[in-house]
Amino acid sequence: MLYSYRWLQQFLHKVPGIDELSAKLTLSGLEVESVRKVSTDISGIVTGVIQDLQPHPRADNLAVAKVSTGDTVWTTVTGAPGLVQGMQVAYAPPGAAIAGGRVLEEIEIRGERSSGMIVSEDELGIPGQSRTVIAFDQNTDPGADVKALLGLDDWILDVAVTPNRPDVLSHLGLAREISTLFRLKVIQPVFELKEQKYDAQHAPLKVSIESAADCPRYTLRLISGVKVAPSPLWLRIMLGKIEQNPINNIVDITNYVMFGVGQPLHAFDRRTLNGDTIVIRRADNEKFTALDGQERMLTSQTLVIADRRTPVAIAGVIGGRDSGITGTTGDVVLESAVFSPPVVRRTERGLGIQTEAAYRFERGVDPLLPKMASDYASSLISRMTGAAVFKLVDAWAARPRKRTIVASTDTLQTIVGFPLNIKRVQSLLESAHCTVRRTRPRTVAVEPPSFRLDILQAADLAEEIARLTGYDRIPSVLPQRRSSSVALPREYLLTELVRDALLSAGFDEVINYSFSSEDDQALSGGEAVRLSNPLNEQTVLMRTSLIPVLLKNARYNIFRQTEDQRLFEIGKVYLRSGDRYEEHVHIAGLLTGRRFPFGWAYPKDLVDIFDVIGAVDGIAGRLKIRGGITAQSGSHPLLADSSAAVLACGDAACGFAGEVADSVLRKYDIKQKVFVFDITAGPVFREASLAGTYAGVPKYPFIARDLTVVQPHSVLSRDITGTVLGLRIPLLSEVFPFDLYVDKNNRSEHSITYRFIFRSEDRTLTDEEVDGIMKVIRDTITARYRITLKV
Amino acid sequence: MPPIDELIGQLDTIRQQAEQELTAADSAEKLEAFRIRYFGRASGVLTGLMKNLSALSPEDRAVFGKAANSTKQKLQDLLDQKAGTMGKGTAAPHTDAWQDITLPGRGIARGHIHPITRVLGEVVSIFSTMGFSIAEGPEIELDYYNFEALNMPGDHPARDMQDTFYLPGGFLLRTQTSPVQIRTMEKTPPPVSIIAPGRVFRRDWDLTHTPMFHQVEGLLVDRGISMTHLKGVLEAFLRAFFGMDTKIRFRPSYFPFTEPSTEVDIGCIFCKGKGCRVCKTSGWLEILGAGMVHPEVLKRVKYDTEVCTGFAFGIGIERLAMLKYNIGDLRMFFENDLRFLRQ
Repeated sequence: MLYSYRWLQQFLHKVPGIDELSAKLTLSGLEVESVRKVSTDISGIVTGVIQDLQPHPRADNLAVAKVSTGDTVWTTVTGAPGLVQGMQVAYAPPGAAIAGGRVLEEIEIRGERSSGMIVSEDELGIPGQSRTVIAFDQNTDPGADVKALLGLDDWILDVAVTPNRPDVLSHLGLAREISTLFRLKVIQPVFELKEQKYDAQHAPLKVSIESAADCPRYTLRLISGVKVAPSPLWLRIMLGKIEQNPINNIVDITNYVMFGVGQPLHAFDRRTLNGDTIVIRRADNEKFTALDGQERMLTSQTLVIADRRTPVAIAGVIGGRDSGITGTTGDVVLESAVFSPPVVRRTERGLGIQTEAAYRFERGVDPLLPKMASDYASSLISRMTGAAVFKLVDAWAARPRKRTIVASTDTLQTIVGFPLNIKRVQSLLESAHCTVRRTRPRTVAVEPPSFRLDILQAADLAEEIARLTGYDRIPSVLPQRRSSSVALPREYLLTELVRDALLSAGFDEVINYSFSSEDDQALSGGEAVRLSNPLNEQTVLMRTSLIPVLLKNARYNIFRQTEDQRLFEIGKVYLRSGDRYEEHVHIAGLLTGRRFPFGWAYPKDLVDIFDVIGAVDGIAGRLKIRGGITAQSGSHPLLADSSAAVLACGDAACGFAGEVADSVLRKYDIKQKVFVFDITAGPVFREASLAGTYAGVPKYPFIARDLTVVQPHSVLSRDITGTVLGLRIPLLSEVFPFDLYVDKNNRSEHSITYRFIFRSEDRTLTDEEVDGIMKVIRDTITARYRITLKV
Repeated sequence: MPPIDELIGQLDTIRQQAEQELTAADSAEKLEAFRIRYFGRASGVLTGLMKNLSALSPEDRAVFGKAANSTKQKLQDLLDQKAGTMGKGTAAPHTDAWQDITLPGRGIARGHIHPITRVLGEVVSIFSTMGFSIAEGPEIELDYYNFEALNMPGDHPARDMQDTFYLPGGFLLRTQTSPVQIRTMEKTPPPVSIIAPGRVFRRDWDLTHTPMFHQVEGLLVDRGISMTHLKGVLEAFLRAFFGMDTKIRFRPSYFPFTEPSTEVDIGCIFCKGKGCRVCKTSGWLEILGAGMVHPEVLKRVKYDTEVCTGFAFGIGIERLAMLKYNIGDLRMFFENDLRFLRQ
């Protein structure tokens, strides 16, 4: 909320300097977001008396005035209306600046010299009356600073008031807080009020509240014989400074009182109210046109103020178009009430109307405030328009219960953590306007003031004590921990391993939004989670796959001249299954472009399917998955048929890998080959092992044997290695393919050379032993597969 | 076929002769000729000798193989040694050995960790040294855990501070990592000390807001925990993360699930507190929110508020990363521009 420093001065004898004030407010929990001077564009404007006023010799609608600003008499050409000789006006001599920052100079207008100008309201930046020239009091000394006279030399504080402190949402409220922080006295608003009794011509209105929970208190009163007009200058200046547009005197006064003391008020035109009973009730599927001109259907969610026939206002939120103040309003019914915060909030949300009144009601209004606020506003209206103020009709549906919090200094001390004595507790809480009694040597009974709706229990008292002491005065201590053994969760550690495996393999990590568009979803498949209130088409769904976002990343970077990419993301996908939602962590990667850095020292090959398989193997290796993550040829909607692999881990399917299909790449405008993998973390992490031991190094040398197998394409390398390993030969420690030869002219066969490593842990092996084993191996594979062995 | 003894004898002769020749060799050319004569692939003396191998009986083969290899190795060592001594002091390098060492070297390119992950890792490791473990929770969360159990019932105005994405069936995308507090305390009796890193979502997308970002929640509940401990732990964290000379300021604030609540600022690391654009001339940067866990929250998870108290905090990871790595634009984190990530 915006606060005027001068307005705060109304409620305090002495206000601390602006810097000290804003620093202290910030450190006590009311963050001052900005402090700015108003009317900084205006300077040097002073009062001046019009000593002489003559028509301009060569222009009908201009005049030549002589204006005395005390020690100087200026001649100026003016077109301002309503000037008379002897009038005290605001004058901007040469060198002065008016609203917007324009600096005045000596000029000539139609052959007459003009030094400076007579300044109108809009040239002083005052909202509302535009061209009018202010007539100052005749007793004002000429040459007085106009900004100071009008209160335009003011500071505006923008304070972030937290939702728990609605009591601060007014100048009086902030003044109270300042009084607490600086131990100052608050000045309550001073006004005189003469109330009249209702009579035959002015029948009292009755109030009927249907639910005390919805509306604990409703007051109204008749103000008869108002004259609706633009507000006086001072009021327009006050509202203008806190960026409120003046409307008319009646509405402006209700706003002035709201920003002044915190009570939202509403003024009805008495003529428009049918009958003499005001009912506060829930709406019953009724149409209602609010002040904003929109017609809405109101349901029983909405609390309304109604006359005999229809709603005339939405309680606490907005008035009706047809019951508001107009230029011809003569009798006003002034409402000052308290409504239930949740009800106002639901209404505000439901109807999408945000008003200053609702902002306060939904946070909570002091139940004792309505009468004072109504009296204050009535007295101002009466003073300004001469209207007669009638007695307040004050309907209490539920009186506030007295809140007493009993707390021991020990309890409070446990929370704040520094020693407290009861005298200090009492003094701090009393400065915060609480009534404090000492009930036992170390116990206080605290009654918070009616406006502090947030103080409900000991923790709240502790906060007041800590806050008013200053958080900077609280010592810092590291806690002594009862348990000190803390293990990081397995999933976290495994994820770290996977990330490191991929980083080591040259992959760059990306993080994408968890959302998905309909287009991406069409490619991903799976039943997606749909958001009820998406922000835009990018956030309609939650992603069911990481591949579309990786493809988008690839496209983004290709378009920015980075063709060689290895990307990965570890993140969740989201699925809907029936009325449940599932989240699964996926590990997905993308490769495209060259395999190695582009440079003299590296081959210029492009990545292929084996780079993807290698990345997957790297993950399996880092996670110490027994049997690894295995790839089988398969198919996947995103992948090209010829190079698609389904991945498995243990007995469970765990994802896919391969080359992205051209049809998919076209959708993403990618014109180079792209390879991806997508692994579901769940089954992989189940098979992973964090524990590991180091074995001793072998004591005896190994013997290696190579075997070249000419195999038909239908026989896979894993068929051969799997068969060999299936023999469970104790001395065979490793077998792996180390050379592949594909003859372009041979379309049915290829040859692979396998290396076999034999080793014993207790002796040096002999060639004979190994030869014997090799024979068993040769015999087994030739018996099982239609292959030939090269000698 | 010569018998094995004869073959071994030949080996010996070859070795002796070769040693003499090697001693005599006094130029690079002669050394190269020596290499070709003995080790040459096509007609080298030693290579030729090995051709006999296949004709031997397995036993002999082993014996001869071993002897031949040892001779070969010995000669190779001598050759290398000689070549090494000759290399020194010779003016012109051998043409084969020409190299331009101003060429860039060869390396294995490691990938780059995302700055968010990097900061998360740092935060986790600092807190784990202070005895905090990691807890996790779902991102698709029940309204109950995200708001209600955190003392924010349906009509609470504080819900305004967090624009929420809703899902059918009373679910939402969590707007904060705080629900993990509730889930953890429901499962675990005190003492509890966890941090909960993760993605959170808010319905807001502009220059300074992204609809998804990262937070780390922290929670410590135990006997006799007070605001002094909250200050102690958070100061220790901020000094470990930003440096020992970091200025730290605790300011009262408001969160529905903590009481008392605080916002924590650090002295602006850009202007050193003098006031600049980043800190909006205040000299301070808001860095995290924290507070003593509200008794209502503890009661909801059936903790005895007479016995235990605790504190909780929430840290925005993007903000930490922006400050630490001087990243000016929040959106950079999710554009995944490799020119950005590969720095």
